[in-house]
Amino acid sequence: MIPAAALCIALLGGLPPLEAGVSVGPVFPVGDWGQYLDTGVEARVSLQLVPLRRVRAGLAFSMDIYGDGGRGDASVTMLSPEATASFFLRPGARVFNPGLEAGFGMTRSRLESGGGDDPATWDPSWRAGPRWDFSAGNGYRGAVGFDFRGVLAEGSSADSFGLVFRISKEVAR
Amino acid sequence: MKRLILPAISLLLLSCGSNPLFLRLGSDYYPVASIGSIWEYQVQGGGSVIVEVIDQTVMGDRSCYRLQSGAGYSYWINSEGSLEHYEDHTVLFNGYEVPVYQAWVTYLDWPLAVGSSFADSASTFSVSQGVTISHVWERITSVAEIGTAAGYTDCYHLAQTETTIDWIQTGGFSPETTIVVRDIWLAPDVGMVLKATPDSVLTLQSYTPGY
Repeated sequence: MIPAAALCIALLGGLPPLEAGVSVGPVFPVGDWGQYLDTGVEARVSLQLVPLRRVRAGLAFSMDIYGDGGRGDASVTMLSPEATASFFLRPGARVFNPGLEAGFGMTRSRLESGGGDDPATWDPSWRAGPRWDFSAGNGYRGAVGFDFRGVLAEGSSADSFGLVFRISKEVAR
Repeated sequence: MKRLILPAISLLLLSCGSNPLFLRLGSDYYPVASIGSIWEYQVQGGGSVIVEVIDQTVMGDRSCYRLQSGAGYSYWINSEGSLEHYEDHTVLFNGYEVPVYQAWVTYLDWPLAVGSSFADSASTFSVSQGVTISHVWERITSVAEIGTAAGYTDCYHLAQTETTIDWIQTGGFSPETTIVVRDIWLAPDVGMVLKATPDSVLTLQSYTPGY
């Protein structure tokens, strides 16, 4: 809803500033689905419009990879295109700009193990978590935070917890 | 707008297809680590087989779970992402069962995935009553598909071939080759629900989880 509203504002009032970001961080599976998996790593690229000073909205694409937690060679790969939105309390603040970020999209999950692979599955997914945004100098913004996330799959959801380290920059005004 | 909504709905409907990957990832496909678990199988052609996890014991210097089926026992360890089975191979010679191979061998690596395969083998010999008995053994297990068996869904179908070549190296004996082909279906949080060999078919009738 927020990305759609941001798009409407953008179309009505001209294109607002556009921010590009990259984030990485470890992700930890929560629940039985991760019983044979190790800590994973996530990378995300995002493009967000800034229609209001405190609001950003846009699209993101992330990839999560979990390795084997035992002696085998299993891995789970998740690819997630999503709509994102974020709200910050003190935009532009140099050292402390707290906020919240959320995303909703679809996740393609694939298991490989022992030289085989299970059929991939597409499921709705979400994530949400707090951010501590700050200036990183030269027009860059940094942010740290964490996400709770879930893949709303049939039979059992795949929940996880992830740390987020992001760098972003306004690329168009 | 319709151009956007229709693909989105299609994508959501596709996501509702029956492919519960995370349910499979979170399930125990060989729950042998619960004492008191009982599987009752119906044998095609009549009769039944009962398999029970009777206790925890030590075999080959390792703590394991002991399963009883009739008068026979088998030993299993299900931990650290793999299922291990204690192989106890003997060869009958002059009325004696001569032990030729005893070892813990990985039976399956978790998680299973369609197309994955596991191979174990051993080549050994033993001397009994002055006669050398050689023993060559190989077991190949591959995950053929995900399907329904004995009324259980999301089963992994394992195709297994076990080849044994025993040779009592004395006059009158020649290498004896035995090939056993099995099809095994494992259901989530239940274990083996169907086993088919050329000689028999076992179908799970009831399963009682242990504690």
